Amino acid sequence: MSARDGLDGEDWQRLVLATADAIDEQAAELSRLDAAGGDGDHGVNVATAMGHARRETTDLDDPTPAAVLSVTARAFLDEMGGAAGALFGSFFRAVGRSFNGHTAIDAAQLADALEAGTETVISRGKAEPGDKTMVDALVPAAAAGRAAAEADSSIVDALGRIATAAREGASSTSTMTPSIGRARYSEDRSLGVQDPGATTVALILEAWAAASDDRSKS
Amino acid sequence: MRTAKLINDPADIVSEMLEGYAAAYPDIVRLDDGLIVRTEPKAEGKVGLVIGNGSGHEPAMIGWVGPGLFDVNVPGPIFTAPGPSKLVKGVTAADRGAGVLICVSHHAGDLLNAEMALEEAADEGIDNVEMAVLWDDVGSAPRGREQERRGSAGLFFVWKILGAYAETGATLSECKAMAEQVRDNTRTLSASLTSSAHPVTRQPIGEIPDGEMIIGVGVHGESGTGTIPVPTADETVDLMLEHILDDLPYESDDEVCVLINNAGALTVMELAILNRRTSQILAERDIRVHRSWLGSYATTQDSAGFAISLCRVDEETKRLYDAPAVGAGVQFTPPGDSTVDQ
Repeated sequence: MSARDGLDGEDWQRLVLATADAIDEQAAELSRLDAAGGDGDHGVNVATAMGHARRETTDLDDPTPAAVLSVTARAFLDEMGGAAGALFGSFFRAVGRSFNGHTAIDAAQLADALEAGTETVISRGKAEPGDKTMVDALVPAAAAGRAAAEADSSIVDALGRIATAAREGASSTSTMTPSIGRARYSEDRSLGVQDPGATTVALILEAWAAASDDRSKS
Repeated sequence: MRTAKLINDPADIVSEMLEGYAAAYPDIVRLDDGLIVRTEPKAEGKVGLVIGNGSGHEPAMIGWVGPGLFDVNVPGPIFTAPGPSKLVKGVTAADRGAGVLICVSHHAGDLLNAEMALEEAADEGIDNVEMAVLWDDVGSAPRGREQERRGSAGLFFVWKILGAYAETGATLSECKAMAEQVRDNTRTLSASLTSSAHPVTRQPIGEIPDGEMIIGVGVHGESGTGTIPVPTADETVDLMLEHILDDLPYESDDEVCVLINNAGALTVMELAILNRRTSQILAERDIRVHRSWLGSYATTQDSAGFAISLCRVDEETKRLYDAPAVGAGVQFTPPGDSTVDQ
């Protein structure tokens, strides 16, 4: 199967494992960002959730794309907890539901899934773009995914553009002041510091892009 | 600030704490698959009370499970609310056939996960579950925006009065209304001289310069309205109590219960000196004190801070406040009941 045909369940397993590795590498940095507005444990908590996701996806008997995303969602909801666990868990759950019934995910299906995930995070968390949250990385990422699908991009190209947009969105949060969640009580402390949730979104999507690209070269 | 902790693997802090706590108080609580539940369950036909919360605030809330208090506590990771499935498990464990009330101390994570738990419970066909969202911290949002405020130490009064009320056989909707009624009569403000280290990362949660104090600090070290040089105890109470009294407002001839909560590292000596000034001001304003409680109920590790909470009470809530209750972390006996013979 060529990368243009889409990412199947085993590919998604590999994307999740690559994400877990990327988060492990960056956990200390994510916690450092969180210390500015929160209690400084975001990286540890995301790494815990991704550690569970790594084990659970590896154990799947029938790793469809939907099943891989579903166990990833459960790892965030059940093992991470807090607002971040609920929101990342809801995101992965919506992406997984959007993958339902597909054996391989192409750029158009990924665009649908990212939009569904982003809408879920916005409706549940009630944050808007500019509030210095994960939404500031998700919204541009979903828009890039839709643009890539409309340009008939391959899934690898689409993920590359999605990851770039997410990273730019995450970078843009450093000049924002928080207006929602626990960080809003610490406005001064977090000014000039990138939002840890948005940064995690960028790390996840960058890991997806890198792992899908590896596959196209192999 | 102390960064060294007497722990083992940081990943095991919560599970090992729960194991040790349950082992210490087997007559009051037991550990059931990660939940702290009453050893002697509440009678059938009464509303079950559940609370989830981030760990690290002990004795809140593991110490508040027992007769006259909560049926089940669902402890999350350190300073992190538990996820929806674990809350649903707590609801099932607390169900005595008359419905279950999930109490939510208002923070983003607690509320989101409780909302998702209600959805999951509905999906699983568990009905007769409601949630009460509770706040009291006047430092977290101004008057008129009370519903944006955080839950903090003053929820002490909600837990105690609601716990007694559920034991009377009140219905689920009555319990929820009572929780909200007590919430709406409660106001709290906190202050802190030092932050504490996060038990997992060992890094400070917020920073308070030496010799400075923050008023309005949250239970996770969220910053308040800026620091001031540490005042005297009396000056501190004067600053804080004025804010609290004007907020409800509490007026002459009101009757209140008082809590001076230790956030971790203050001494009983300091709490008593703070309460001395509190009781003087209340007397000057002709506000009667029904009962006072000094001590560590909700902590932020070993932060050197405290909260003053007032709850305006009436005949019914006084009676419920005075009802006996036994948790591993708090015990209530009726006023004047100093008998020791059983």
